[in-house]
Amino acid sequence: MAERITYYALVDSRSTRERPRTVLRRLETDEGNTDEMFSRDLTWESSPLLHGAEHGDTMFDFAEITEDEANEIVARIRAEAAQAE
Amino acid sequence: MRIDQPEPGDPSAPPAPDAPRAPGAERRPAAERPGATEAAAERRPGRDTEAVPDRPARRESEAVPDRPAQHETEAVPERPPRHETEAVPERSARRETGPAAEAAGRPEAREPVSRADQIAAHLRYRETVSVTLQAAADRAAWAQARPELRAAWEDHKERYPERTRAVPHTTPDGSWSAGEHRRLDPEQNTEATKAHADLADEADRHILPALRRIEAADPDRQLAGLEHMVKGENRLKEKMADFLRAPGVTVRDALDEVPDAVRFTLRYSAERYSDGVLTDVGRMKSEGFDLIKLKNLWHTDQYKGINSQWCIPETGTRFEMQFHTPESLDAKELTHAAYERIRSRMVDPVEERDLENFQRRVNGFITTPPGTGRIKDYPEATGG
Repeated sequence: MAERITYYALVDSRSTRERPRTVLRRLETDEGNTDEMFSRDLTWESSPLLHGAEHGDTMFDFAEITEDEANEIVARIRAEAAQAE
Repeated sequence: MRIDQPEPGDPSAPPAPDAPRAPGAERRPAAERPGATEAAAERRPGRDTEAVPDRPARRESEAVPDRPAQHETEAVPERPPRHETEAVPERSARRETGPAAEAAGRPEAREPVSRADQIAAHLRYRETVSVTLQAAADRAAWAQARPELRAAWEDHKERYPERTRAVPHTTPDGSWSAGEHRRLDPEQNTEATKAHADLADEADRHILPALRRIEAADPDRQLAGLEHMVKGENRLKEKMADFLRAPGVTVRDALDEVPDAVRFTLRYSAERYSDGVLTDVGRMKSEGFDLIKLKNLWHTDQYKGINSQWCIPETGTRFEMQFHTPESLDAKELTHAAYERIRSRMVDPVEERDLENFQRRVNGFITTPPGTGRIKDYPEATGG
Protein backbone atom coordinates (compact mmCIF):
# COMPACT_ATOMS: atom_id res chain seq x y z
CA MET A 1 0.00 0.00 0.00
CA ALA A 2 1.49 3.29 -1.07
CA GLU A 3 2.00 5.81 1.72
CA ARG A 4 2.15 8.69 -0.66
CA ILE A 5 1.21 9.14 -4.31
CA THR A 6 2.39 12.12 -6.34
CA TYR A 7 0.97 12.77 -9.80
CA TYR A 8 2.74 14.40 -12.72
CA ALA A 9 1.50 15.59 -16.09
CA LEU A 10 3.79 14.52 -18.93
CA VAL A 11 4.16 17.31 -21.49
CA ASP A 12 5.94 16.77 -24.80
CA SER A 13 6.32 19.12 -27.75
CA ARG A 14 2.89 18.15 -29.11
CA SER A 15 0.99 18.62 -25.85
CA THR A 16 0.56 21.32 -23.24
CA ARG A 17 0.39 21.70 -19.50
CA GLU A 18 -3.37 22.16 -19.87
CA ARG A 19 -3.73 19.14 -22.14
CA PRO A 20 -0.80 16.85 -21.35
CA ARG A 21 0.11 13.68 -23.19
CA THR A 22 -0.55 11.51 -20.14
CA VAL A 23 -0.05 11.16 -16.39
CA LEU A 24 2.66 9.53 -14.28
CA ARG A 25 2.42 8.73 -10.62
CA ARG A 26 5.11 8.02 -8.05
CA LEU A 27 4.12 5.55 -5.35
CA GLU A 28 6.22 5.88 -2.22
CA THR A 29 6.28 3.15 0.41
CA ASP A 30 8.62 2.04 3.18
CA GLU A 31 10.25 -0.30 0.69
CA GLY A 32 10.94 2.36 -1.92
CA ASN A 33 9.46 4.13 -4.90
CA THR A 34 7.69 2.91 -8.00
CA ASP A 35 6.83 5.08 -11.01
CA GLU A 36 3.88 4.28 -13.24
CA MET A 37 2.53 5.84 -16.40
CA PHE A 38 -1.05 5.71 -17.62
CA SER A 39 -0.35 3.89 -20.87
CA ARG A 40 -1.86 3.49 -24.30
CA ASP A 41 -3.36 0.21 -23.05
CA LEU A 42 -5.35 2.32 -20.55
CA THR A 43 -3.57 0.71 -17.61
CA TRP A 44 -0.96 1.92 -15.14
CA GLU A 45 2.40 0.40 -16.00
CA SER A 46 5.97 0.83 -14.81
CA SER A 47 7.83 3.65 -16.56
CA PRO A 48 11.39 5.02 -16.42
CA LEU A 49 10.49 8.42 -17.87
CA LEU A 50 10.32 10.34 -14.60
CA HIS A 51 13.71 8.98 -13.56
CA GLY A 52 15.07 10.13 -16.88
CA ALA A 53 14.00 13.69 -16.17
CA GLU A 54 15.56 13.52 -12.72
CA HIS A 55 18.81 12.46 -14.32
CA GLY A 56 18.94 15.33 -16.79
CA ASP A 57 16.81 14.04 -19.66
CA THR A 58 15.09 17.06 -21.21
CA MET A 59 12.79 15.06 -23.49
CA PHE A 60 9.68 15.84 -21.45
CA ASP A 61 8.49 18.36 -18.94
CA PHE A 62 6.80 17.02 -15.84
CA ALA A 63 4.44 19.20 -13.85
CA GLU A 64 3.20 18.06 -10.48
CA ILE A 65 -0.60 17.95 -10.43
CA THR A 66 -3.33 17.07 -7.99
CA GLU A 67 -5.09 13.72 -7.85
CA ASP A 68 -8.25 15.37 -9.22
CA GLU A 69 -6.34 16.79 -12.16
CA ALA A 70 -4.80 13.37 -12.78
CA ASN A 71 -8.22 11.75 -12.75
CA GLU A 72 -9.51 14.27 -15.28
CA ILE A 73 -6.63 13.53 -17.64
CA VAL A 74 -7.14 9.78 -17.30
CA ALA A 75 -10.84 10.20 -18.01
CA ARG A 76 -10.08 12.29 -21.09
CA ILE A 77 -7.63 9.67 -22.41
CA ARG A 78 -10.19 6.91 -21.85
CA ALA A 79 -12.84 8.90 -23.66
CA GLU A 80 -10.53 9.56 -26.63
CA ALA A 81 -9.65 5.87 -26.83
CA ALA A 82 -13.32 4.89 -26.76
CA GLN A 83 -14.07 7.41 -29.49
CA ALA A 84 -11.26 6.06 -31.66
CA GLU A 85 -12.61 2.50 -31.53
CA MET B 1 19.86 37.72 -18.07
CA ARG B 2 17.68 35.47 -20.18
CA ILE B 3 19.38 32.67 -21.94
CA ASP B 4 18.18 33.87 -25.30
CA GLN B 5 19.55 37.34 -24.81
CA PRO B 6 23.22 37.12 -25.63
CA GLU B 7 22.87 37.53 -29.34
CA PRO B 8 25.85 38.73 -31.31
CA GLY B 9 26.27 42.39 -30.67
CA ASP B 10 24.40 42.32 -27.41
CA PRO B 11 26.42 44.61 -25.17
CA SER B 12 25.19 42.79 -22.07
CA ALA B 13 26.57 39.50 -23.30
CA PRO B 14 29.98 38.37 -22.12
CA PRO B 15 32.58 39.32 -24.71
CA ALA B 16 33.55 36.62 -27.11
CA PRO B 17 37.28 36.17 -27.17
CA ASP B 18 37.37 36.87 -30.85
CA ALA B 19 35.03 39.82 -30.68
CA PRO B 20 36.39 43.29 -31.34
CA ARG B 21 37.31 45.06 -28.14
CA ALA B 22 35.88 48.32 -27.08
CA PRO B 23 38.08 51.38 -27.48
CA GLY B 24 40.21 51.72 -24.43
CA ALA B 25 40.16 48.01 -23.80
CA GLU B 26 42.85 47.25 -26.33
CA ARG B 27 45.31 44.66 -25.26
CA ARG B 28 48.88 45.73 -25.00
CA PRO B 29 51.42 43.56 -26.74
CA ALA B 30 52.44 40.73 -24.50
CA ALA B 31 55.99 41.99 -24.40
CA GLU B 32 54.80 45.11 -22.61
CA ARG B 33 53.13 43.20 -19.81
CA PRO B 34 55.10 42.70 -16.69
CA GLY B 35 55.90 39.06 -16.36
CA ALA B 36 53.57 37.95 -19.14
CA THR B 37 54.89 35.78 -21.91
CA GLU B 38 53.67 35.79 -25.45
CA ALA B 39 52.46 32.23 -25.04
CA ALA B 40 50.46 33.06 -21.95
CA ALA B 41 48.92 36.02 -23.71
CA GLU B 42 47.84 33.89 -26.63
CA ARG B 43 46.55 31.13 -24.40
CA ARG B 44 44.20 33.37 -22.48
CA PRO B 45 42.26 35.58 -24.85
CA GLY B 46 39.75 37.87 -23.29
CA ARG B 47 41.22 37.56 -19.83
CA ASP B 48 42.48 41.10 -19.56
CA THR B 49 39.09 42.55 -18.88
CA GLU B 50 37.49 39.51 -17.25
CA ALA B 51 39.97 38.98 -14.46
CA VAL B 52 39.00 35.38 -13.81
CA PRO B 53 42.24 33.50 -13.35
CA ASP B 54 42.17 29.85 -14.26
CA ARG B 55 45.11 28.56 -12.30
CA PRO B 56 43.88 28.52 -8.75
CA ALA B 57 46.11 25.69 -7.67
CA ARG B 58 49.17 27.84 -7.98
CA ARG B 59 47.65 30.58 -5.92
CA GLU B 60 46.32 28.70 -2.99
CA SER B 61 49.45 29.30 -1.02
CA GLU B 62 49.42 32.99 -1.74
CA ALA B 63 47.97 35.38 0.74
CA VAL B 64 44.89 37.17 -0.46
CA PRO B 65 46.25 40.56 -1.36
CA ASP B 66 44.41 43.64 -0.34
CA ARG B 67 45.18 45.78 -3.26
CA PRO B 68 42.86 45.91 -6.22
CA ALA B 69 43.55 44.54 -9.62
CA GLN B 70 43.75 47.29 -12.16
CA HIS B 71 42.06 46.64 -15.42
CA GLU B 72 44.04 47.50 -18.46
CA THR B 73 41.49 50.10 -19.33
CA GLU B 74 42.43 51.89 -16.16
CA ALA B 75 46.03 52.19 -17.25
CA VAL B 76 47.86 52.51 -13.94
CA PRO B 77 51.09 50.79 -14.79
CA GLU B 78 52.55 51.10 -11.31
CA ARG B 79 50.03 48.45 -10.28
CA PRO B 80 49.82 45.96 -13.09
CA PRO B 81 46.85 43.59 -13.13
CA ARG B 82 47.75 41.03 -10.57
CA HIS B 83 46.38 38.09 -12.47
CA GLU B 84 48.62 38.90 -15.38
CA THR B 85 51.70 38.83 -13.25
CA GLU B 86 50.46 35.61 -11.72
CA ALA B 87 49.73 33.92 -15.02
CA VAL B 88 53.34 32.80 -15.16
CA PRO B 89 54.36 33.03 -11.52
CA GLU B 90 57.74 31.52 -11.99
CA ARG B 91 58.65 34.47 -14.14
CA SER B 92 56.82 37.14 -12.21
CA ALA B 93 58.83 40.28 -11.90
CA ARG B 94 57.26 42.16 -9.03
CA ARG B 95 59.60 45.09 -9.41
CA GLU B 96 58.74 47.49 -12.16
CA THR B 97 61.52 47.16 -14.67
CA GLY B 98 61.91 47.09 -18.41
CA PRO B 99 58.92 47.82 -20.59
CA ALA B 100 56.61 48.34 -17.63
CA ALA B 101 58.83 51.00 -16.17
CA GLU B 102 59.04 52.64 -19.55
CA ALA B 103 55.29 52.56 -19.82
CA ALA B 104 55.04 54.22 -16.44
CA GLY B 105 56.94 57.16 -17.79
CA ARG B 106 54.52 57.77 -20.60
CA PRO B 107 52.17 60.69 -20.11
CA GLU B 108 49.11 58.77 -21.30
CA ALA B 109 49.71 56.13 -18.61
CA ARG B 110 49.34 58.63 -15.78
CA GLU B 111 45.63 59.32 -16.08
CA PRO B 112 44.12 59.68 -12.62
CA VAL B 113 41.93 56.90 -11.28
CA SER B 114 39.06 57.92 -9.05
CA ARG B 115 38.68 56.54 -5.55
CA ALA B 116 35.35 54.99 -6.54
CA ASP B 117 37.00 53.16 -9.43
CA GLN B 118 39.74 51.94 -7.13
CA ILE B 119 37.20 50.61 -4.64
CA ALA B 120 35.18 48.95 -7.38
CA ALA B 121 38.31 47.32 -8.79
CA HIS B 122 39.30 46.22 -5.32
CA LEU B 123 35.94 44.57 -4.74
CA ARG B 124 36.05 42.87 -8.13
CA TYR B 125 39.49 41.56 -7.40
CA ARG B 126 38.55 40.24 -3.99
CA GLU B 127 35.54 38.50 -5.53
CA THR B 128 37.76 36.94 -8.17
CA VAL B 129 40.20 35.67 -5.58
CA SER B 130 37.36 34.34 -3.47
CA VAL B 131 35.78 32.48 -6.41
CA THR B 132 39.12 31.06 -7.45
CA LEU B 133 40.00 29.80 -4.00
CA GLN B 134 36.53 28.34 -3.51
CA ALA B 135 36.71 26.54 -6.85
CA ALA B 136 40.09 25.08 -5.91
CA ALA B 137 38.71 23.91 -2.58
CA ASP B 138 35.69 22.33 -4.31
CA ARG B 139 37.92 20.51 -6.77
CA ALA B 140 40.02 19.19 -3.92
CA ALA B 141 36.93 18.04 -2.02
CA TRP B 142 35.66 16.19 -5.08
CA ALA B 143 39.03 14.56 -5.72
CA GLN B 144 39.08 13.39 -2.12
CA ALA B 145 35.51 12.03 -2.20
CA ARG B 146 35.78 10.29 -5.54
CA PRO B 147 37.57 7.08 -4.45
CA GLU B 148 35.10 6.61 -1.61
CA LEU B 149 32.16 7.06 -3.96
CA ARG B 150 33.63 4.59 -6.43
CA ALA B 151 34.00 2.12 -3.60
CA ALA B 152 30.37 2.73 -2.60
CA TRP B 153 29.30 1.83 -6.12
CA GLU B 154 31.36 -1.35 -6.02
CA ASP B 155 29.65 -2.20 -2.71
CA HIS B 156 26.26 -1.62 -4.29
CA LYS B 157 27.05 -4.00 -7.14
CA GLU B 158 28.08 -6.66 -4.64
CA ARG B 159 24.93 -6.18 -2.61
CA TYR B 160 22.70 -6.15 -5.67
CA PRO B 161 24.24 -8.29 -8.41
CA GLU B 162 22.89 -7.09 -11.71
CA ARG B 163 20.15 -9.21 -13.08
CA THR B 164 20.56 -10.52 -16.56
CA ARG B 165 19.62 -7.68 -18.80
CA ALA B 166 17.25 -8.14 -21.64
CA VAL B 167 19.29 -8.35 -24.81
CA PRO B 168 17.82 -6.15 -27.53
CA HIS B 169 17.25 -8.10 -30.68
CA THR B 170 15.47 -8.06 -34.02
CA THR B 171 13.28 -11.06 -34.70
CA PRO B 172 12.85 -12.78 -38.09
CA ASP B 173 9.65 -10.85 -38.79
CA GLY B 174 11.62 -7.59 -38.49
CA SER B 175 10.24 -6.46 -35.15
CA TRP B 176 12.53 -5.43 -32.31
CA SER B 177 12.30 -6.05 -28.59
CA ALA B 178 14.29 -5.54 -25.40
CA GLY B 179 12.61 -7.19 -22.49
CA GLU B 180 8.99 -7.41 -21.58
CA HIS B 181 7.95 -3.81 -22.16
CA ARG B 182 10.05 -2.49 -25.00
CA ARG B 183 8.91 -3.43 -28.44
CA LEU B 184 8.87 -1.98 -31.96
CA ASP B 185 6.85 -3.56 -34.75
CA PRO B 186 8.64 -4.25 -38.05
CA GLU B 187 7.62 -0.93 -39.59
CA GLN B 188 8.64 1.04 -36.49
CA ASN B 189 11.91 -0.84 -36.32
CA THR B 190 12.74 -0.12 -39.95
CA GLU B 191 12.00 3.56 -39.48
CA ALA B 192 14.07 3.73 -36.30
CA THR B 193 17.04 1.99 -37.94
CA LYS B 194 16.98 4.40 -40.86
CA ALA B 195 16.56 7.42 -38.56
CA HIS B 196 19.58 6.35 -36.52
CA ALA B 197 21.76 6.10 -39.61
CA ASP B 198 20.55 9.49 -40.88
CA LEU B 199 21.25 11.12 -37.52
CA ALA B 200 24.77 9.71 -37.37
CA ASP B 201 25.42 11.05 -40.85
CA GLU B 202 24.07 14.50 -40.07
CA ALA B 203 26.05 14.65 -36.83
CA ASP B 204 29.29 13.96 -38.71
CA ARG B 205 28.67 16.17 -41.70
CA HIS B 206 26.93 19.21 -40.22
CA ILE B 207 26.73 19.42 -36.46
CA LEU B 208 30.23 18.41 -35.41
CA PRO B 209 32.05 20.77 -37.81
CA ALA B 210 29.96 23.70 -36.52
CA LEU B 211 30.67 22.76 -32.93
CA ARG B 212 34.36 22.44 -33.69
CA ARG B 213 34.29 26.05 -34.90
CA ILE B 214 32.60 27.08 -31.68
CA GLU B 215 35.15 25.14 -29.64
CA ALA B 216 38.00 26.85 -31.47
CA ALA B 217 36.71 30.28 -30.44
CA ASP B 218 37.83 29.80 -26.84
CA PRO B 219 40.63 27.48 -25.73
CA ASP B 220 39.46 27.64 -22.11
CA ARG B 221 36.85 24.90 -22.57
CA GLN B 222 36.54 21.78 -24.64
CA LEU B 223 34.09 19.44 -26.28
CA ALA B 224 34.11 16.27 -24.23
CA GLY B 225 32.97 12.73 -24.82
CA LEU B 226 32.82 12.87 -28.61
CA GLU B 227 33.13 9.10 -28.69
CA HIS B 228 29.54 9.05 -27.39
CA MET B 229 28.32 11.65 -29.87
CA VAL B 230 25.73 9.32 -31.39
CA LYS B 231 23.55 7.27 -29.11
CA GLY B 232 23.69 3.54 -29.78
CA GLU B 233 20.99 2.24 -32.08
CA ASN B 234 19.47 -0.03 -29.44
CA ARG B 235 19.49 2.76 -26.84
CA LEU B 236 17.61 4.97 -29.27
CA LYS B 237 15.07 2.21 -29.85
CA GLU B 238 14.68 1.63 -26.11
CA LYS B 239 13.95 5.29 -25.59
CA MET B 240 11.46 5.34 -28.44
CA ALA B 241 9.79 2.20 -27.15
CA ASP B 242 9.40 3.74 -23.68
CA PHE B 243 7.66 6.78 -25.13
CA LEU B 244 5.52 4.69 -27.48
CA ARG B 245 3.83 3.26 -24.39
CA ALA B 246 2.17 6.66 -23.85
CA PRO B 247 -1.28 7.17 -25.35
CA GLY B 248 -1.50 8.43 -28.92
CA VAL B 249 2.24 8.47 -29.66
CA THR B 250 3.31 7.54 -33.19
CA VAL B 251 6.75 6.35 -34.21
CA ARG B 252 7.27 9.72 -35.91
CA ASP B 253 6.41 11.49 -32.65
CA ALA B 254 8.87 9.31 -30.81
CA LEU B 255 11.66 9.94 -33.31
CA ASP B 256 11.05 13.67 -33.34
CA GLU B 257 10.91 13.85 -29.58
CA VAL B 258 14.16 12.09 -28.67
CA PRO B 259 16.56 15.01 -28.22
CA ASP B 260 19.74 13.20 -27.40
CA ALA B 261 20.23 10.66 -30.17
CA VAL B 262 23.06 13.06 -31.07
CA ARG B 263 24.61 14.75 -28.06
CA PHE B 264 27.61 16.84 -27.15
CA THR B 265 29.19 18.20 -24.01
CA LEU B 266 31.10 21.42 -23.42
CA ARG B 267 33.24 21.38 -20.30
CA TYR B 268 34.35 24.52 -18.46
CA SER B 269 36.24 25.34 -15.30
CA ALA B 270 33.90 26.37 -12.50
CA GLU B 271 35.29 29.91 -12.55
CA ARG B 272 34.51 30.36 -16.25
CA TYR B 273 31.34 28.30 -16.35
CA SER B 274 28.48 30.78 -16.31
CA ASP B 275 29.98 33.36 -18.65
CA GLY B 276 31.18 30.53 -20.87
CA VAL B 277 27.74 28.93 -21.17
CA LEU B 278 26.04 32.23 -21.95
CA THR B 279 28.63 33.06 -24.59
CA ASP B 280 28.48 29.62 -26.19
CA VAL B 281 24.69 29.64 -26.35
CA GLY B 282 25.07 32.84 -28.37
CA ARG B 283 27.71 31.24 -30.56
CA MET B 284 25.48 28.24 -31.28
CA LYS B 285 22.69 30.58 -32.35
CA SER B 286 25.17 32.40 -34.57
CA GLU B 287 25.99 29.08 -36.22
CA GLY B 288 22.33 28.85 -37.22
CA PHE B 289 21.07 26.38 -34.61
CA ASP B 290 17.70 27.03 -32.98
CA LEU B 291 17.44 26.67 -29.22
CA ILE B 292 14.41 24.54 -28.36
CA LYS B 293 14.83 23.98 -24.67
CA LEU B 294 17.35 24.68 -21.94
CA LYS B 295 17.20 23.26 -18.42
CA ASN B 296 19.36 24.62 -15.65
CA LEU B 297 19.64 21.54 -13.44
CA TRP B 298 22.13 22.82 -10.89
CA HIS B 299 19.40 22.96 -8.25
CA THR B 300 18.39 19.31 -8.61
CA ASP B 301 19.77 16.62 -6.33
CA GLN B 302 20.44 13.69 -8.67
CA TYR B 303 22.09 15.51 -11.56
CA LYS B 304 24.17 18.67 -11.90
CA GLY B 305 24.66 20.66 -15.08
CA ILE B 306 22.75 22.43 -17.82
CA ASN B 307 21.22 20.44 -20.66
CA SER B 308 19.83 21.98 -23.81
CA GLN B 309 18.03 20.86 -26.95
CA TRP B 310 18.87 22.35 -30.32
CA CYS B 311 17.52 21.99 -33.81
CA ILE B 312 18.86 22.39 -37.32
CA PRO B 313 16.09 24.53 -38.83
CA GLU B 314 16.52 23.20 -42.37
CA THR B 315 16.10 19.54 -41.44
CA GLY B 316 14.38 19.65 -38.06
CA THR B 317 17.08 17.39 -36.62
CA ARG B 318 17.43 17.73 -32.88
CA PHE B 319 20.55 17.32 -30.85
CA GLU B 320 21.56 17.88 -27.27
CA MET B 321 24.28 20.05 -25.78
CA GLN B 322 25.25 19.56 -22.16
CA PHE B 323 27.22 22.17 -20.25
CA HIS B 324 29.35 20.78 -17.45
CA THR B 325 32.25 21.46 -15.16
CA PRO B 326 34.86 18.70 -14.96
CA GLU B 327 33.41 17.67 -11.61
CA SER B 328 29.75 17.60 -12.70
CA LEU B 329 30.70 15.59 -15.79
CA ASP B 330 32.66 13.19 -13.62
CA ALA B 331 29.66 12.83 -11.30
CA LYS B 332 27.38 12.16 -14.26
CA GLU B 333 29.70 9.42 -15.47
CA LEU B 334 30.04 7.97 -11.99
CA THR B 335 26.27 7.70 -11.62
CA HIS B 336 25.53 6.57 -15.17
CA ALA B 337 25.47 2.88 -14.37
CA ALA B 338 23.10 3.52 -11.46
CA TYR B 339 20.83 5.49 -13.79
CA GLU B 340 20.93 2.71 -16.37
CA ARG B 341 19.88 0.19 -13.73
CA ILE B 342 16.90 2.32 -12.77
CA ARG B 343 15.94 2.79 -16.40
CA SER B 344 16.15 -0.96 -17.04
CA ARG B 345 13.11 -1.45 -14.77
CA MET B 346 14.74 -4.63 -13.53
CA VAL B 347 15.40 -3.39 -10.00
CA ASP B 348 13.12 -3.77 -7.02
CA PRO B 349 11.93 -0.69 -5.10
CA VAL B 350 14.51 -1.19 -2.35
CA GLU B 351 17.42 -1.17 -4.76
CA GLU B 352 15.84 1.66 -6.69
CA ARG B 353 15.77 3.80 -3.58
CA ASP B 354 19.43 2.92 -2.87
CA LEU B 355 20.34 3.86 -6.42
CA GLU B 356 18.62 7.21 -6.09
CA ASN B 357 20.37 7.82 -2.78
CA PHE B 358 23.69 6.98 -4.40
CA GLN B 359 23.01 9.54 -7.13
CA ARG B 360 22.14 12.13 -4.49
CA ARG B 361 25.24 11.33 -2.48
CA VAL B 362 27.55 11.70 -5.48
CA ASN B 363 25.97 14.93 -6.62
CA GLY B 364 26.02 16.28 -3.09
CA PHE B 365 29.76 16.78 -3.55
CA ILE B 366 29.32 18.92 -6.63
CA THR B 367 29.35 22.64 -5.99
CA THR B 368 27.29 24.93 -8.16
CA PRO B 369 29.57 27.32 -10.05
CA PRO B 370 29.07 31.03 -9.36
CA GLY B 371 26.63 32.91 -11.55
CA THR B 372 24.48 29.99 -12.73
CA GLY B 373 21.38 31.85 -11.50
CA ARG B 374 21.79 34.13 -14.51
CA ILE B 375 21.22 31.17 -16.82
CA LYS B 376 17.46 30.83 -17.06
CA ASP B 377 15.46 27.89 -18.33
CA TYR B 378 14.21 28.24 -21.88
CA PRO B 379 11.36 28.45 -22.44
CA GLU B 380 10.89 29.92 -18.99
CA ALA B 381 8.50 28.02 -16.75
CA THR B 382 5.04 29.51 -16.68
CA GLY B 383 3.98 28.05 -13.37
CA GLY B 384 2.18 24.86 -12.58
